[in-house]
Amino acid sequence: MDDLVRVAQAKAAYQAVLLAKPNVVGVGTGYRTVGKRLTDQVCLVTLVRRKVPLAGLEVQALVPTEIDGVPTDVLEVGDLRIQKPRDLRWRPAPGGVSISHFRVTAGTFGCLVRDRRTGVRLILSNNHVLANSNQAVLGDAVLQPGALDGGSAEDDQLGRLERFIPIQFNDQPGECSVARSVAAVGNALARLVGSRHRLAVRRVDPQAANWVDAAVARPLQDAWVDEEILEIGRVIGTAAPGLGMPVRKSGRTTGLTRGEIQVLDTTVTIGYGDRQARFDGQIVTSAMSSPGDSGSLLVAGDRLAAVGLLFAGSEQATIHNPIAQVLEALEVSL
Amino acid sequence: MTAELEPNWVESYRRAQQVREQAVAGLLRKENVVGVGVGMRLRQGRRTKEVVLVVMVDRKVPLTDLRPADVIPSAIDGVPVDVQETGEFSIHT
Repeated sequence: MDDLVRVAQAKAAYQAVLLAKPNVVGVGTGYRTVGKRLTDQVCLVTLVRRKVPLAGLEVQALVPTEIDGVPTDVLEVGDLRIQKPRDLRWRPAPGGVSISHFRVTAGTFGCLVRDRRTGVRLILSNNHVLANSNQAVLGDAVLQPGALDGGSAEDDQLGRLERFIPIQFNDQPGECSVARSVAAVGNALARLVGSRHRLAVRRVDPQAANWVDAAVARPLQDAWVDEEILEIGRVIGTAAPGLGMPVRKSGRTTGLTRGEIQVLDTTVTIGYGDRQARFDGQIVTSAMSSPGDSGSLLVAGDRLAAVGLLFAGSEQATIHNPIAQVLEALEVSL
Repeated sequence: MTAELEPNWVESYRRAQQVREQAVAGLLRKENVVGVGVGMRLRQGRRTKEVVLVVMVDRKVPLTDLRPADVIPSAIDGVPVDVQETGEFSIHT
Protein backbone atom coordinates (compact mmCIF):
# COMPACT_ATOMS: atom_id res chain seq x y z
CA MET A 1 0.00 0.00 0.00
CA ASP A 2 2.86 2.39 0.87
CA ASP A 3 4.36 1.64 -2.52
CA LEU A 4 1.11 2.45 -4.29
CA VAL A 5 0.85 5.76 -2.46
CA ARG A 6 4.43 6.70 -3.33
CA VAL A 7 3.84 5.82 -6.99
CA ALA A 8 0.61 7.83 -7.05
CA GLN A 9 2.41 10.84 -5.55
CA ALA A 10 5.26 10.60 -8.04
CA LYS A 11 2.75 10.31 -10.88
CA ALA A 12 0.88 13.42 -9.70
CA ALA A 13 4.12 15.38 -9.33
CA TYR A 14 5.83 14.39 -12.59
CA GLN A 15 3.02 13.49 -14.99
CA ALA A 16 3.17 16.82 -16.84
CA VAL A 17 6.95 16.62 -17.22
CA LEU A 18 6.78 13.09 -18.63
CA LEU A 19 3.91 13.87 -20.99
CA ALA A 20 5.89 16.80 -22.40
CA LYS A 21 8.61 14.44 -23.64
CA PRO A 22 8.45 13.52 -27.30
CA ASN A 23 7.20 9.98 -27.92
CA VAL A 24 5.35 9.77 -24.55
CA VAL A 25 1.59 9.23 -24.94
CA GLY A 26 0.55 8.38 -21.40
CA VAL A 27 1.56 7.89 -17.75
CA GLY A 28 0.08 5.40 -15.30
CA THR A 29 0.78 3.11 -12.37
CA GLY A 30 1.34 -0.57 -12.85
CA TYR A 31 3.54 -3.57 -12.23
CA ARG A 32 7.02 -3.68 -13.62
CA THR A 33 7.76 -6.11 -16.43
CA VAL A 34 11.24 -7.56 -16.68
CA GLY A 35 11.88 -9.10 -20.06
CA LYS A 36 8.38 -10.37 -20.81
CA ARG A 37 7.56 -11.38 -17.22
CA LEU A 38 5.35 -9.35 -14.96
CA THR A 39 6.84 -8.79 -11.49
CA ASP A 40 4.93 -7.77 -8.35
CA GLN A 41 6.91 -4.53 -8.10
CA VAL A 42 4.69 -1.46 -8.30
CA CYS A 43 6.08 1.26 -10.56
CA LEU A 44 5.33 4.35 -12.59
CA VAL A 45 4.61 3.28 -16.16
CA THR A 46 5.39 5.60 -19.04
CA LEU A 47 3.58 4.72 -22.26
CA VAL A 48 5.57 5.52 -25.40
CA ARG A 49 4.70 5.23 -29.10
CA ARG A 50 7.91 3.38 -29.83
CA LYS A 51 10.85 2.30 -27.73
CA VAL A 52 14.00 3.97 -29.04
CA PRO A 53 17.55 2.82 -28.19
CA LEU A 54 19.05 5.12 -25.54
CA ALA A 55 21.75 6.18 -27.97
CA GLY A 56 19.10 7.57 -30.30
CA LEU A 57 17.50 9.83 -27.69
CA GLU A 58 18.16 13.43 -26.71
CA VAL A 59 18.91 13.76 -22.97
CA GLN A 60 15.67 15.61 -22.26
CA ALA A 61 13.69 12.84 -23.98
CA LEU A 62 14.97 10.17 -21.59
CA VAL A 63 12.61 8.68 -19.02
CA PRO A 64 14.66 8.27 -15.79
CA THR A 65 14.80 4.74 -14.37
CA GLU A 66 13.48 6.06 -11.08
CA ILE A 67 11.74 9.22 -9.87
CA ASP A 68 11.82 10.15 -6.15
CA GLY A 69 12.78 6.57 -5.36
CA VAL A 70 9.89 5.16 -7.39
CA PRO A 71 10.98 2.76 -10.17
CA THR A 72 9.73 3.51 -13.69
CA ASP A 73 8.94 1.26 -16.58
CA VAL A 74 8.52 2.11 -20.24
CA LEU A 75 5.80 0.38 -22.24
CA GLU A 76 5.51 0.60 -26.03
CA VAL A 77 1.88 1.06 -27.09
CA GLY A 78 2.00 2.63 -30.57
CA ASP A 79 -0.28 5.58 -31.28
CA LEU A 80 -3.19 5.80 -28.88
CA ARG A 81 -6.21 7.17 -30.62
CA ILE A 82 -9.70 7.05 -29.26
CA GLN A 83 -11.77 5.55 -32.02
CA LYS A 84 -15.01 7.37 -32.65
CA PRO A 85 -17.80 4.77 -32.92
CA ARG A 86 -18.49 3.54 -36.46
CA ASP A 87 -22.25 3.91 -36.18
CA LEU A 88 -22.05 7.70 -35.76
CA ARG A 89 -22.08 10.41 -38.44
CA TRP A 90 -18.66 10.84 -40.08
CA ARG A 91 -17.74 13.74 -42.42
CA PRO A 92 -15.60 13.01 -44.23
CA ALA A 93 -16.73 9.37 -44.06
CA PRO A 94 -13.95 6.77 -44.19
CA GLY A 95 -14.30 3.12 -45.17
CA GLY A 96 -15.52 0.90 -42.34
CA VAL A 97 -18.40 3.07 -41.06
CA SER A 98 -22.17 2.56 -41.04
CA ILE A 99 -24.02 3.24 -44.29
CA SER A 100 -27.30 2.22 -45.94
CA HIS A 101 -29.99 2.87 -48.52
CA PHE A 102 -32.75 4.79 -46.73
CA ARG A 103 -34.95 1.64 -46.61
CA VAL A 104 -32.19 -0.73 -45.43
CA THR A 105 -31.08 -1.29 -41.81
CA ALA A 106 -27.30 -0.77 -41.90
CA GLY A 107 -24.21 -2.10 -43.61
CA THR A 108 -20.65 -0.94 -44.14
CA PHE A 109 -18.99 1.58 -46.48
CA GLY A 110 -16.28 -0.66 -48.01
CA CYS A 111 -13.97 1.87 -49.60
CA LEU A 112 -13.78 4.52 -52.30
CA VAL A 113 -13.41 3.43 -55.92
CA ARG A 114 -13.14 5.36 -59.19
CA ASP A 115 -15.51 5.29 -62.13
CA ARG A 116 -13.41 3.96 -65.03
CA ARG A 117 -15.00 6.35 -67.52
CA THR A 118 -15.47 9.58 -65.58
CA GLY A 119 -12.85 9.25 -62.82
CA VAL A 120 -15.46 10.26 -60.22
CA ARG A 121 -14.94 8.84 -56.71
CA LEU A 122 -17.71 6.43 -55.69
CA ILE A 123 -18.70 4.62 -52.48
CA LEU A 124 -18.42 0.82 -52.74
CA SER A 125 -20.68 -1.54 -50.81
CA ASN A 126 -23.20 -4.33 -51.49
CA ASN A 127 -26.35 -4.23 -53.62
CA HIS A 128 -28.32 -5.26 -50.53
CA VAL A 129 -26.86 -2.33 -48.57
CA LEU A 130 -27.04 0.48 -51.17
CA ALA A 131 -29.76 -0.77 -53.56
CA ASN A 132 -32.08 -2.67 -51.19
CA SER A 133 -31.58 -6.00 -53.02
CA ASN A 134 -32.64 -4.68 -56.48
CA GLN A 135 -35.63 -2.76 -55.09
CA ALA A 136 -34.06 0.70 -55.20
CA VAL A 137 -34.25 3.31 -57.95
CA LEU A 138 -31.06 4.92 -59.25
CA GLY A 139 -30.57 8.21 -57.44
CA ASP A 140 -32.10 6.96 -54.17
CA ALA A 141 -30.67 8.43 -50.97
CA VAL A 142 -27.77 6.65 -49.27
CA LEU A 143 -27.39 7.56 -45.59
CA GLN A 144 -24.36 7.73 -43.28
CA PRO A 145 -24.93 6.52 -40.63
CA GLY A 146 -27.37 3.91 -41.91
CA ALA A 147 -31.07 4.02 -41.07
CA LEU A 148 -30.73 1.54 -38.18
CA ASP A 149 -28.13 3.82 -36.60
CA GLY A 150 -30.42 6.84 -36.74
CA GLY A 151 -29.42 8.18 -40.16
CA SER A 152 -32.21 10.27 -41.67
CA ALA A 153 -32.84 11.33 -45.26
CA GLU A 154 -33.14 14.99 -44.16
CA ASP A 155 -29.90 15.28 -42.20
CA ASP A 156 -27.60 12.39 -43.05
CA GLN A 157 -27.69 11.79 -46.79
CA LEU A 158 -24.12 11.06 -47.91
CA GLY A 159 -24.82 10.21 -51.53
CA ARG A 160 -27.07 8.80 -54.23
CA LEU A 161 -27.26 5.29 -55.61
CA GLU A 162 -25.21 5.37 -58.82
CA ARG A 163 -25.48 1.79 -60.09
CA PHE A 164 -25.80 -1.80 -58.91
CA ILE A 165 -25.42 -5.33 -60.22
CA PRO A 166 -28.87 -7.00 -60.07
CA ILE A 167 -29.11 -10.19 -58.02
CA GLN A 168 -30.85 -13.18 -59.60
CA PHE A 169 -32.98 -14.83 -56.93
CA ASN A 170 -33.68 -18.55 -57.04
CA ASP A 171 -37.41 -18.67 -56.94
CA GLN A 172 -38.82 -15.80 -58.82
CA PRO A 173 -42.30 -16.51 -60.16
CA GLY A 174 -41.85 -18.37 -63.44
CA GLU A 175 -42.37 -16.73 -66.79
CA CYS A 176 -42.69 -19.81 -68.92
CA SER A 177 -46.20 -20.37 -70.29
CA VAL A 178 -45.60 -24.09 -70.91
CA ALA A 179 -44.67 -24.52 -67.28
CA ARG A 180 -47.73 -22.50 -66.23
CA SER A 181 -50.08 -24.69 -68.23
CA VAL A 182 -48.40 -27.85 -66.92
CA ALA A 183 -48.91 -26.54 -63.40
CA ALA A 184 -52.51 -25.66 -64.16
CA VAL A 185 -53.21 -29.14 -65.51
CA GLY A 186 -51.39 -30.67 -62.57
CA ASN A 187 -53.38 -28.58 -60.10
CA ALA A 188 -56.64 -29.49 -61.82
CA LEU A 189 -55.71 -33.17 -61.49
CA ALA A 190 -54.69 -32.61 -57.88
CA ARG A 191 -58.09 -31.04 -57.14
CA LEU A 192 -59.78 -33.92 -58.94
CA VAL A 193 -58.19 -36.48 -56.66
CA GLY A 194 -58.62 -34.33 -53.58
CA SER A 195 -54.91 -33.85 -53.01
CA ARG A 196 -53.89 -30.97 -50.80
CA HIS A 197 -50.70 -30.46 -52.82
CA ARG A 198 -50.67 -27.72 -55.41
CA LEU A 199 -47.93 -27.13 -57.94
CA ALA A 200 -46.58 -23.61 -58.01
CA VAL A 201 -44.45 -22.50 -60.92
CA ARG A 202 -41.08 -21.57 -59.57
CA ARG A 203 -38.18 -20.81 -61.81
CA VAL A 204 -35.50 -22.48 -59.71
CA ASP A 205 -32.65 -21.78 -62.03
CA PRO A 206 -29.62 -23.85 -61.08
CA GLN A 207 -27.76 -21.80 -63.67
CA ALA A 208 -28.65 -18.54 -61.91
CA ALA A 209 -25.06 -17.60 -61.45
CA ASN A 210 -24.46 -14.52 -59.36
CA TRP A 211 -20.88 -13.51 -58.87
CA VAL A 212 -21.27 -10.33 -56.89
CA ASP A 213 -23.60 -8.51 -54.50
CA ALA A 214 -22.27 -5.05 -55.29
CA ALA A 215 -23.28 -1.44 -55.84
CA VAL A 216 -21.78 2.05 -55.86
CA ALA A 217 -23.15 5.37 -54.62
CA ARG A 218 -21.99 8.83 -55.63
CA PRO A 219 -21.21 11.22 -52.76
CA LEU A 220 -23.25 14.45 -52.78
CA GLN A 221 -19.95 16.24 -52.21
CA ASP A 222 -16.55 14.78 -53.00
CA ALA A 223 -15.10 16.28 -49.78
CA TRP A 224 -17.54 14.21 -47.66
CA VAL A 225 -15.68 10.94 -48.25
CA ASP A 226 -12.20 9.76 -47.32
CA GLU A 227 -9.78 7.32 -49.01
CA GLU A 228 -8.80 5.82 -45.64
CA ILE A 229 -10.36 2.67 -44.25
CA LEU A 230 -10.60 2.86 -40.45
CA GLU A 231 -7.82 0.91 -38.70
CA ILE A 232 -6.45 -0.32 -42.03
CA GLY A 233 -5.41 2.73 -44.04
CA ARG A 234 -5.45 3.40 -47.74
CA VAL A 235 -5.66 0.34 -49.96
CA ILE A 236 -3.56 0.27 -53.12
CA GLY A 237 -4.39 -2.34 -55.72
CA THR A 238 -5.68 -5.88 -55.39
CA ALA A 239 -4.30 -9.30 -54.47
CA ALA A 240 -5.50 -12.68 -55.72
CA PRO A 241 -7.07 -14.84 -53.01
CA GLY A 242 -5.12 -17.94 -51.96
CA LEU A 243 -5.85 -20.87 -49.67
CA GLY A 244 -4.58 -20.18 -46.16
CA MET A 245 -4.06 -16.49 -46.93
CA PRO A 246 -4.40 -14.26 -43.83
CA VAL A 247 -7.00 -11.50 -44.34
CA ARG A 248 -8.67 -8.67 -42.38
CA LYS A 249 -11.65 -6.40 -42.66
CA SER A 250 -12.91 -3.18 -41.08
CA GLY A 251 -16.67 -3.16 -40.54
CA ARG A 252 -19.49 -1.30 -38.81
CA THR A 253 -20.36 -3.99 -36.28
CA THR A 254 -17.26 -5.96 -35.37
CA GLY A 255 -14.62 -3.38 -36.33
CA LEU A 256 -11.22 -4.70 -37.37
CA THR A 257 -11.19 -8.49 -37.47
CA ARG A 258 -8.78 -11.03 -38.93
CA GLY A 259 -9.29 -14.42 -40.52
CA GLU A 260 -7.96 -16.71 -43.18
CA ILE A 261 -9.19 -17.94 -46.55
CA GLN A 262 -10.36 -21.54 -46.22
CA VAL A 263 -12.31 -22.32 -49.38
CA LEU A 264 -12.19 -20.91 -52.94
CA ASP A 265 -14.29 -21.25 -56.14
CA THR A 266 -17.30 -21.82 -53.93
CA THR A 267 -20.86 -22.21 -55.15
CA VAL A 268 -23.03 -21.25 -52.21
CA THR A 269 -26.68 -20.54 -51.37
CA ILE A 270 -27.33 -17.34 -49.46
CA GLY A 271 -30.51 -16.34 -47.62
CA TYR A 272 -31.92 -12.86 -48.33
CA GLY A 273 -34.73 -12.68 -45.80
CA ASP A 274 -37.42 -14.88 -47.35
CA ARG A 275 -35.57 -15.34 -50.65
CA GLN A 276 -32.44 -17.19 -51.67
CA ALA A 277 -29.75 -16.55 -54.25
CA ARG A 278 -26.96 -18.75 -55.50
CA PHE A 279 -23.44 -17.42 -55.97
CA ASP A 280 -20.49 -18.89 -57.83
CA GLY A 281 -16.77 -18.34 -57.42
CA GLN A 282 -17.01 -17.08 -53.84
CA ILE A 283 -14.27 -16.77 -51.21
CA VAL A 284 -14.98 -18.41 -47.82
CA THR A 285 -13.01 -17.30 -44.77
CA SER A 286 -13.12 -18.23 -41.11
CA ALA A 287 -15.85 -16.35 -39.22
CA MET A 288 -14.96 -12.65 -39.16
CA SER A 289 -18.25 -10.76 -39.36
CA SER A 290 -21.73 -10.14 -37.94
CA PRO A 291 -24.86 -8.46 -39.31
CA GLY A 292 -23.98 -4.84 -40.18
CA ASP A 293 -20.56 -5.76 -41.60
CA SER A 294 -21.95 -6.35 -45.12
CA GLY A 295 -20.04 -4.24 -47.62
CA SER A 296 -16.70 -4.33 -45.77
CA LEU A 297 -13.65 -4.63 -47.97
CA LEU A 298 -11.68 -7.84 -47.46
CA VAL A 299 -7.99 -6.84 -47.33
CA ALA A 300 -4.82 -8.97 -47.32
CA GLY A 301 -3.53 -9.50 -43.78
CA ASP A 302 -0.01 -8.29 -44.49
CA ARG A 303 -0.46 -5.80 -47.35
CA LEU A 304 -2.74 -2.91 -48.29
CA ALA A 305 -4.31 -4.92 -51.11
CA ALA A 306 -8.02 -5.59 -51.63
CA VAL A 307 -9.04 -9.24 -51.94
CA GLY A 308 -12.84 -9.32 -51.71
CA LEU A 309 -16.13 -7.70 -50.75
CA LEU A 310 -17.79 -9.18 -47.66
CA PHE A 311 -21.53 -9.80 -48.01
CA ALA A 312 -22.79 -12.81 -46.05
CA GLY A 313 -21.96 -15.32 -43.37
CA SER A 314 -22.93 -17.64 -40.56
CA GLU A 315 -21.59 -18.26 -37.06
CA GLN A 316 -18.87 -20.46 -38.57
CA ALA A 317 -17.77 -18.70 -41.77
CA THR A 318 -17.92 -15.47 -43.78
CA ILE A 319 -18.54 -15.19 -47.55
CA HIS A 320 -16.95 -12.64 -49.90
CA ASN A 321 -17.14 -11.77 -53.60
CA PRO A 322 -13.74 -11.78 -55.34
CA ILE A 323 -12.73 -8.13 -55.72
CA ALA A 324 -11.68 -8.47 -59.36
CA GLN A 325 -15.24 -9.51 -60.33
CA VAL A 326 -16.71 -6.65 -58.27
CA LEU A 327 -14.55 -3.97 -59.93
CA GLU A 328 -15.13 -5.45 -63.40
CA ALA A 329 -18.91 -5.71 -63.02
CA LEU A 330 -19.26 -2.15 -61.70
CA GLU A 331 -16.70 -0.71 -64.16
CA VAL A 332 -14.70 0.91 -61.40
CA SER A 333 -11.12 0.72 -60.18
CA LEU A 334 -9.46 1.12 -56.79
CA MET B 1 -1.25 -18.62 -52.90
CA THR B 2 0.15 -19.32 -49.48
CA ALA B 3 2.54 -21.85 -48.07
CA GLU B 4 1.61 -24.54 -45.54
CA LEU B 5 -0.23 -26.67 -48.09
CA GLU B 6 0.68 -30.18 -49.17
CA PRO B 7 3.76 -30.24 -51.45
CA ASN B 8 1.76 -31.11 -54.59
CA TRP B 9 -1.20 -28.88 -53.79
CA VAL B 10 -1.37 -27.34 -57.26
CA GLU B 11 -2.21 -30.74 -58.75
CA SER B 12 -4.67 -31.52 -55.93
CA TYR B 13 -6.32 -28.15 -56.45
CA ARG B 14 -6.67 -28.66 -60.21
CA ARG B 15 -8.19 -32.13 -59.78
CA ALA B 16 -10.55 -30.94 -57.05
CA GLN B 17 -11.69 -28.11 -59.35
CA GLN B 18 -12.41 -30.55 -62.17
CA VAL B 19 -14.42 -32.85 -59.91
CA ARG B 20 -16.20 -29.83 -58.41
CA GLU B 21 -17.45 -28.74 -61.84
CA GLN B 22 -18.99 -32.14 -62.50
CA ALA B 23 -20.36 -32.78 -59.02
CA VAL B 24 -21.54 -29.36 -57.82
CA ALA B 25 -25.12 -29.52 -59.12
CA GLY B 26 -25.75 -32.99 -57.69
CA LEU B 27 -24.18 -32.12 -54.33
CA LEU B 28 -26.27 -28.96 -53.95
CA ARG B 29 -29.44 -31.02 -54.40
CA LYS B 30 -28.60 -33.12 -51.33
CA GLU B 31 -30.27 -32.39 -48.00
CA ASN B 32 -28.47 -29.79 -45.81
CA VAL B 33 -25.84 -28.83 -48.44
CA VAL B 34 -25.31 -25.04 -48.63
CA GLY B 35 -22.05 -24.76 -50.57
CA VAL B 36 -19.38 -26.57 -52.57
CA GLY B 37 -15.82 -25.34 -53.11
CA VAL B 38 -12.16 -26.25 -53.11
CA GLY B 39 -10.34 -25.74 -49.85
CA MET B 40 -8.40 -27.09 -46.93
CA ARG B 41 -9.54 -30.07 -44.90
CA LEU B 42 -10.37 -28.99 -41.35
CA ARG B 43 -9.71 -31.13 -38.27
CA GLN B 44 -11.35 -29.93 -35.04
CA GLY B 45 -11.81 -26.57 -36.70
CA ARG B 46 -8.09 -26.25 -37.49
CA ARG B 47 -6.92 -26.38 -41.05
CA THR B 48 -4.69 -29.12 -42.38
CA LYS B 49 -2.38 -28.97 -45.40
CA GLU B 50 -4.64 -31.20 -47.47
CA VAL B 51 -6.45 -29.60 -50.43
CA VAL B 52 -9.85 -31.26 -50.91
CA LEU B 53 -13.36 -30.81 -52.27
CA VAL B 54 -15.22 -28.98 -49.48
CA VAL B 55 -18.94 -29.57 -49.04
CA MET B 56 -20.55 -27.16 -46.59
CA VAL B 57 -23.67 -28.26 -44.74
CA ASP B 58 -25.94 -26.28 -42.45
CA ARG B 59 -25.72 -29.09 -39.91
CA LYS B 60 -24.12 -32.51 -39.71
CA VAL B 61 -26.55 -35.35 -39.16
CA PRO B 62 -25.86 -39.03 -38.44
CA LEU B 63 -25.66 -41.17 -41.59
CA THR B 64 -28.55 -43.27 -40.32
CA ASP B 65 -30.84 -40.21 -40.44
CA LEU B 66 -30.12 -39.56 -44.12
CA ARG B 67 -31.79 -40.98 -47.18
CA PRO B 68 -29.18 -42.81 -49.26
CA ALA B 69 -29.49 -40.13 -51.97
CA ASP B 70 -28.49 -37.44 -49.45
CA VAL B 71 -25.32 -39.13 -48.22
CA ILE B 72 -22.16 -37.22 -49.18
CA PRO B 73 -19.37 -39.58 -50.31
CA SER B 74 -15.97 -39.36 -48.60
CA ALA B 75 -14.31 -39.14 -52.02
CA ILE B 76 -15.44 -38.43 -55.59
CA ASP B 77 -13.36 -39.74 -58.51
CA GLY B 78 -10.40 -40.13 -56.17
CA VAL B 79 -10.67 -36.58 -54.79
CA PRO B 80 -11.20 -36.54 -51.00
CA VAL B 81 -14.32 -34.74 -49.73
CA ASP B 82 -14.44 -32.84 -46.43
CA VAL B 83 -17.90 -32.10 -45.05
CA GLN B 84 -17.80 -28.86 -43.04
CA GLU B 85 -20.64 -27.65 -40.83
CA THR B 86 -21.19 -23.95 -41.47
CA GLY B 87 -24.81 -23.28 -40.58
CA GLU B 88 -27.01 -21.49 -43.14
CA PHE B 89 -25.55 -18.40 -44.77
CA SER B 90 -27.42 -15.12 -44.85
CA ILE B 91 -26.61 -11.56 -45.81
CA HIS B 92 -24.90 -9.53 -43.10
CA THR B 93 -27.02 -6.40 -42.82
